[in-house]
Amino acid sequence: MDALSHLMHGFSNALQPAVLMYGFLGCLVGTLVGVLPGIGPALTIALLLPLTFKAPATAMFVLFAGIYYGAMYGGSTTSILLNTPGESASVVTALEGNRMARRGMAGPALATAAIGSFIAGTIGTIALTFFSPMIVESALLFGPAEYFSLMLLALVAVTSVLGNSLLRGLVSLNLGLLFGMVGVDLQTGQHRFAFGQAELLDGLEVTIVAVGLFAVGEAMFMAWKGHAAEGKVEKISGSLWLDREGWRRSWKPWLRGTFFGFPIGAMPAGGAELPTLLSYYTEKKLSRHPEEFGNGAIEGVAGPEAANNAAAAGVLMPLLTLGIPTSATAAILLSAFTSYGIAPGPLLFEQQADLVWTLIASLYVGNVILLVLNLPLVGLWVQLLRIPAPWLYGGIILISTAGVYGASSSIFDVGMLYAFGLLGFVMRRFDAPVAPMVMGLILGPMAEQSMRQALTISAGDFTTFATRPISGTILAIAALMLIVPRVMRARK
Amino acid sequence: MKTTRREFLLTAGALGAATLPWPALAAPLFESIFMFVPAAPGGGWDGTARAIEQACKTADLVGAFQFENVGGSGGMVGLPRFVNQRKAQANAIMVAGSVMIGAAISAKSPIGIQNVVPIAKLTEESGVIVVPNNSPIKSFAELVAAFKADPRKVPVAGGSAGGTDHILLGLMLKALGRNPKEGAYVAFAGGGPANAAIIGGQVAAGISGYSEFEEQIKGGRMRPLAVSGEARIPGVNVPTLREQGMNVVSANWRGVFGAPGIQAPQRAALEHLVSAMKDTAGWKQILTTRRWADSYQAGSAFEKYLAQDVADTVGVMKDLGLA
Amino acid sequence: MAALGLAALAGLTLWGAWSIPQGPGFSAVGPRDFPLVLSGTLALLALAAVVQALRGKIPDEAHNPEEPPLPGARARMGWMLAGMLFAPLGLHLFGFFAGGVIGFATVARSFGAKSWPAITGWAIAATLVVWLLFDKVLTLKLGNELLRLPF
Repeated sequence: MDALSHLMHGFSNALQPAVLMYGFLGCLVGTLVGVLPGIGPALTIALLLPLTFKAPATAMFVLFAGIYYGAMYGGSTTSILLNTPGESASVVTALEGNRMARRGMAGPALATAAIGSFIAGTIGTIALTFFSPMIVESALLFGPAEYFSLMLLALVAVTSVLGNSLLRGLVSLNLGLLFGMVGVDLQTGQHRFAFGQAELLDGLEVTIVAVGLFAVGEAMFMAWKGHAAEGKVEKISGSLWLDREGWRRSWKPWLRGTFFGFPIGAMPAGGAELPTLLSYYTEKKLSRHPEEFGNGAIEGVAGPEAANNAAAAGVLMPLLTLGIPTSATAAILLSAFTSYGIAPGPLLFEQQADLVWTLIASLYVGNVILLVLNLPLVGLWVQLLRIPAPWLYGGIILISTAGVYGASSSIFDVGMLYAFGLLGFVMRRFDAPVAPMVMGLILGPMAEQSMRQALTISAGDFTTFATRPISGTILAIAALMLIVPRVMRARK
Repeated sequence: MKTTRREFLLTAGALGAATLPWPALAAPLFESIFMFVPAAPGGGWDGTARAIEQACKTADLVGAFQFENVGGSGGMVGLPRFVNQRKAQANAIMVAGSVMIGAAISAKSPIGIQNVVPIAKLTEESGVIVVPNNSPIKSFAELVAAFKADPRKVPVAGGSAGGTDHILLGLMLKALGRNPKEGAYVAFAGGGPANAAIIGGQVAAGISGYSEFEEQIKGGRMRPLAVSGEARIPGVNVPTLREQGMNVVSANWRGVFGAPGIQAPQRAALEHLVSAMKDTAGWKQILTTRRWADSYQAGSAFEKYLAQDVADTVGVMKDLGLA
Repeated sequence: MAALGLAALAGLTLWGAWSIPQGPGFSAVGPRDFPLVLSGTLALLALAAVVQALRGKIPDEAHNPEEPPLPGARARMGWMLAGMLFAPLGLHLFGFFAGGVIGFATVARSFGAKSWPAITGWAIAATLVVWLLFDKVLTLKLGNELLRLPF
């Protein structure tokens, strides 16, 4: 197999000490920015772009790849331990992960996240190595109509995160969808809910909303309750490691998560949040312990974590094979390629074979580095919970503020962060779940824009969603997902 | 790996050797420059700004650079901040371009590009109109015929509404005597999804900057029908709109601006700096690597160009219902 | 208490619906249709909530929380809110250091830290570490000068 010999050559490059060091450095920085709320890999790599004037291309891309994968690993840590996801792709992880941590199972939660990430990342990278062109071609069959149907499917899946009161869950979701409408309308340039504020024209930044609702809101709620001050932070009991039961319950979710994450990541408008949501929904439906969901079910951590790492690998496929960036990070990577005068695209594998295969090989190596880096870190991270509450939450607020302010140097954004923190507090106070709001914020604009794009293409014909084969199939699945559980319940 | 590194060393060597004459020019022109980028790191304006920094530093034209990035809304978040905070600051420059003109109009912002001092236009990129490779439309004439028949049946993909791509479509429809509002313009966020929609055959045609589509055109997945610049893109065998009988010219340019309220000599000093910068080998090297078209223009010529561009843009935006 | 929250919600809905009138669309589904549908749904949800509240069956944290807050919740929230007001102010006027220290200190206080010397010490140390990490290591812009004077 040709790819195999190229890959071997890539490994011989990637394992050179100097390159290995860049990879390690990237993984370290990536884990760090993943852990810190408010800053993600896109911003970090953008800030490092000026280095492309000085350092050789291979070293830089190995570094960037490390940051990218590392951030995906790191993102789960604070979600699980502190209920403060650092980025939108780990919001779903927080649902069960934090519950596990509260039951004293922080160790197994972190372990299943790390191992799941490793497995998904590795499977994703293998698929990237051997099946890129095929998968990208199928991803191209997805047009706006298909994306809209996919979003409807996702909205059905959101019902799995609505919590125990349907009404409150729906209010949260609905507000999130409305927040998603803020800003300049992509299709017509009209201003919506911007109230003359230039800062609002680009819409609400998902990161700010998520960090505000989760990190700041959580801190306020804990302060209000006052129990944390009494030293009643999550206790750590039991093993730091996955026991047999943990392995047994994790391996299927890992694989299913990968199955969702990789293809959707490869789609030009897929993203990493959608597969985490679908994976969570699936695990909840398939689980033999559905009652555990909401109280810390390990499947609800294993699946979504695998899904977001597989999506990260998926994103690289259209970037490398077609030069099409499908995420913010991919767009920054593309501009890094151009600043070396390299154009990713169909010809990249021929013209820059050395670079590409070293990069791909270093993705495998990076995954191993990250696993080795993260498993021992589990013990260290868990120690975070021993920090006395005043300093711990003071630090969380400080870091969230620094992340948001550092990214935009905008006081307005800091104000938004705190405003959403307050909203997060009020919602917790009235027992309304915050995750649907974040999901609504992400899915709302995608659903609306793709629906309107599809309608422009079909010249206003609504049947396009049902008559296009893929779109129609997805719609049918969504309908089944809504109907079947009801029928089953009715029979009982 | 080895070759890459060697190539890099060669490039770096060439850069160093070519810029040798410059350090001989004694002291730098500016001790320090405050560079304002009204966009997030990583985008086009940021790339231009970093390239200017790089060229100036290798040629010792400027002692030190200080950067500030304020992204959002086509520059409309950053621009007011630059105007207010850097008033009369002689060493402050801002990178901006045609996108900002449209953004200011659609945001109905009281502060626009007229509030800063034009220094020079640096680069420019032609738009290109493409169709998917397997499209029934094979030539520009066929596309024009389709537009004439019914623009609503010809969905065209591009960037956000009111942006350069949308404006080009509006100009084309107007030139054909149709109402620009009739265009079935499908706006996509970012080049990735637009690219995918075109090569996946989801839309009939696409409009964007040439570099955005370049790889797909080379790879034979898109068929270029026309470019929008004054002249053909060097090395690219695609006729302009004018050559094909449509009197439309548009280009996405980028340039640098000074702070409002600077004195004439201070402006001249900045113009001198930029003019010296564009002559450095370092800058020329960057232009080649990134395939940016040199369109240097300064002084009254640039002012005139700017005024014309603003007037044209306002016209089309009104026709599109955006102003 | 629940009624208060619902009133706020209803207010939000009205505010949402009220601010929609905008812009002509030129396609089948225009820019205002989605916001209209969504605020309409929200109004319905608010109505449903009011009905539930009137029937007196809206069990939530506010009514019977699983863990009631310890006494002194108001003072703790007071510190928290003061921090959220003054930290951005300090950040804006005096730069990151001032904002960071104020933010950290007020949050720490609201979590029951009593000794001001300890609070100040930790706040200064933490802000310095974060500033070094973000501004110097990750090269995010937190302001080149640690402490800025407004004049």
